[in-house]
Amino acid sequence: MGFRVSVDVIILLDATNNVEIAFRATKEAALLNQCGMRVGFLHTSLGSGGAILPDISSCLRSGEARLIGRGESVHARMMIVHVADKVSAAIPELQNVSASKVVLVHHAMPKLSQVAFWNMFAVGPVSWVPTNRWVRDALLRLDMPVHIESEDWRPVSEIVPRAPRFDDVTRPRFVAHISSGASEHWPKDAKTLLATHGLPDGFSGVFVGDQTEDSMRSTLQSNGWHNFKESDCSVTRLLSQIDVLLYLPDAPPNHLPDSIISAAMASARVVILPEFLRRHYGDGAFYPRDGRVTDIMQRLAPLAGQKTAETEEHRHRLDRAVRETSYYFPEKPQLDRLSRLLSKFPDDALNLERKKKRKSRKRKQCIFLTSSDVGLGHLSRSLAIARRMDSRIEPIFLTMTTNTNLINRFGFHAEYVPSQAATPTTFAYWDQWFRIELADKLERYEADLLVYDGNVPSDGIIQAGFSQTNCMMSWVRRGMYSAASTSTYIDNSKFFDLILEPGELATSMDNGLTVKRRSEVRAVDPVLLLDPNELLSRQSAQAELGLEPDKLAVLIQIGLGSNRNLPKLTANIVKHLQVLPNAQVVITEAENTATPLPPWRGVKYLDGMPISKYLNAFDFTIASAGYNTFHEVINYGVPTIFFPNDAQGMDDQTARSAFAQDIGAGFHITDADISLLPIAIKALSSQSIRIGMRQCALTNASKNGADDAATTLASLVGLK
Amino acid sequence: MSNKGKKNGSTSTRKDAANAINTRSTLVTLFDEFADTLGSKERVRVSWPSDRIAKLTKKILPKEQFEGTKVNWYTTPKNALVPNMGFSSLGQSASAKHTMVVAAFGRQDFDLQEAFDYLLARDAKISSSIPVFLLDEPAPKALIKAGVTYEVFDKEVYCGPDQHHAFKMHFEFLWQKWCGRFLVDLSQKDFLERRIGNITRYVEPLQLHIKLKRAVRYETQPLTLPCDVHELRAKYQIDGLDKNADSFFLCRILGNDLPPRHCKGQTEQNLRFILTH
Repeated sequence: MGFRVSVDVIILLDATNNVEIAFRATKEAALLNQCGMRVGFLHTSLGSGGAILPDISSCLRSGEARLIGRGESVHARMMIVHVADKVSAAIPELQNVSASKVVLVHHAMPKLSQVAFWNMFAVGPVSWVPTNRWVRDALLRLDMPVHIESEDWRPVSEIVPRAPRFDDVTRPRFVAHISSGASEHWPKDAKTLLATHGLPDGFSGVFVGDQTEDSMRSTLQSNGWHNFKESDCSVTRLLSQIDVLLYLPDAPPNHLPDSIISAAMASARVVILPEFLRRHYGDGAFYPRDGRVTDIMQRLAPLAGQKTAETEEHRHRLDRAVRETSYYFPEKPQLDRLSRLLSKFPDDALNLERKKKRKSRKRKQCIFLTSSDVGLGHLSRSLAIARRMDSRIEPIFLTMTTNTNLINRFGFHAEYVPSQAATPTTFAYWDQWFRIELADKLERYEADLLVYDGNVPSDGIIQAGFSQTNCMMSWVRRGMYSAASTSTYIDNSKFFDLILEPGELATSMDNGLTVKRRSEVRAVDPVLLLDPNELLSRQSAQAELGLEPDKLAVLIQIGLGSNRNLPKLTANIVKHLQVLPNAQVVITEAENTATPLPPWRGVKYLDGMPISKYLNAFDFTIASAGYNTFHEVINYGVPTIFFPNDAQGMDDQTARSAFAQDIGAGFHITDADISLLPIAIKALSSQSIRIGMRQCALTNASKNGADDAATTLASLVGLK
Repeated sequence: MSNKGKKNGSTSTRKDAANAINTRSTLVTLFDEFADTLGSKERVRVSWPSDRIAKLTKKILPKEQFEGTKVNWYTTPKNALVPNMGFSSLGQSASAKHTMVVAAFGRQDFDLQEAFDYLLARDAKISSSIPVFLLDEPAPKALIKAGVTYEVFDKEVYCGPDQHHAFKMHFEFLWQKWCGRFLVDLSQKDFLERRIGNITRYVEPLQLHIKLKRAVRYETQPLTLPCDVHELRAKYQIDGLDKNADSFFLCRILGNDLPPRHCKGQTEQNLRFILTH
């Protein structure tokens, strides 16, 4: 006999298997908790031994229930058993458990082979309770001398708020199927499956259920459906996203996903069910005739912001669904029953007007996830937005950039996670581990918002985000992908609540793969770390850098990373600059770089960020055409010789660089025509040319979009 | 501990690593080319003065609260990861196939350089394993420069006196992630044992286990690969040692011929041969 635990209600379940039971159990725990009951989950593994389901994990984190450990001794006022139909052996977790009352919830038709095992649940007086009429009928026919509760054990319907949407952003409408996945939940043959689960234009399908047969899984996936594992997707999260819930078995299944369907109906989602379930769910759901499911989807799924007469009519229909669901899945009778079973609730527990306890933090927490890539572009953009965030939001950085000190200096907490570059292993393998680490951070900081700045919205990121019940997801996706680039994961963009596209001055030359997907983004002006008034004046900057004011000052910032031979290119540039009389050369270089540059005499090396703070000190720069450098030099009017990095996988720097030359704000030189470098340097050593170029650049300057981005992100978590 | 895990290589990443090594070798040529114009490096550190203080709300996760439960908190991926070999000789052996987890908690950057050098000079078993470093110091220069893989345990999350269980859970996660074969503990005294308990769990039978509680000791054992002269020369120049006046000289005293072991004049003959060639 081990440590004694004190709880009022034990809920016995397999916390790693069956999303329906997990979702139902969390709602029961929440309800009991609101009535002042202490709830404990007793986990017993009956399935594959997978990971704990996200909704259970979230419930435990919220404190609405605790987990009862093996060896802990518990006596409770009641035990609710959710595993009666799955049990096929003795449950060791019951060894130290006793209860004043045991409620055996029957989700499925009883099997005679299981009846003998049900005795082990008799750790107190037992009563049975079926979840629907079909199960009740089967239990009655067993004719066992056990009390059967007179009312079915229906879940209490709860509204899941819809994730915020933006009128100017096109997002696909989501249709989902959520169940344990067993074949009884699906149409039996592939032809019917395709007829009922075809996706109309503008719809995306998602199905959850680990037991889905492989053939069915592949049929659905080849028809545009996305499959989430049960452990990768919180039901609450998915319900907040969807417009349509589709559940079309051929015959009454053993085990109805009642709590999921009732929550969807109560939340005014379109729920499409087969006719034979009308009696169970009422007229709030939609029951297609002749399998015309897609027609219903197209007509009924409400379009955000669209207020036509038709959608108004449908709105009334959905309102009716909400009303009816509160009758079919009511709270009051369930509370009365719980009160009876538990002998007594605290005095105010049954007051339906009671204020539901909601633990809320005043400050929201937002995790900025930045990939490392080449250079500090993703990090700079994220910092730009983070430092302009609403003061009620605490930004936290999870970065693949090695130098977390850079972030700490801005006053933000930062944690490092090795990128795929830290291992020669394939991306997919790395991503599976990364998914776990990201989910850990989102949970640890109870993140309200995940902001990803990177080019690869991998499955791991999506799964980590979707395994949280209440974490919005945003992708800061810059444009200008190179024309030849493809992305395996670009279709994952549909899972983000918001995609922000930082503006591009050279957008007219953008031929990348995001151009055709512009309708799915909220565009903001180019995002820059510093506003022009934050730059040091020329005198101050030169004084801090130790530059002499009457000499020419040149900054070389051709990037970081190993996808280009930077030492060779830099040496070439330095050689040509050394020809100029009185040229003062400054090079950006991280101190911990793996490829340090030679220590040229008289040359200064700038390490850290923000480099743009010093831009006014320079007469011209020689730079790569990465997003940040490009927009900074144009916006701050610094004449520049651009050396685009056209390595594979980079953004289209050549287009940016050519654009700068077209507007007269810089010179465009590629690695191939480097012989032009001395001519460009000679030209920029002339003050009149520099003045002209500066004017051209400033004419094209734009507003800093970082403020807009921060405000939009704040609205995503309900802060106006 | 289980060491299951299939290792797979990626051609593109290996190509990137090859590019990086190629770029490093370019440096040597540059040093030769610019020999007359080189001096010492004048660095200006850019920073952004901010008085902002991060105000975090951290949660102790259920997995760190309920020790006795038999629930899986995550699905462990089937395929463990392989750390990068980096640019040093460590782990570059053709026979390198094991991951050596090097714990270096409570060590500053300078110590890490020492630890790294120590591992390089250690016996074949260590130098033929690929290291992954576990630290509590962010941005370790020595390791970043060397291009080796490391993981950081955030001090605020894992290293506090009430966070031992969180530390242990994270350690075990990373052990699985990198398919740790054996552990080298270079941490501050007792740091690791206090948190993960019995360290020997992480040491395979008959595998090498080193625990340094004091300053690292250097041992002179041959490296599995010849040292990279290019790298040494570049480093010598980068550090500006070539500009320093020599503070020592090497001299070899030649003994006289000892007939009948040597023929008469053999020492002179040998010296001539060396100088000529």
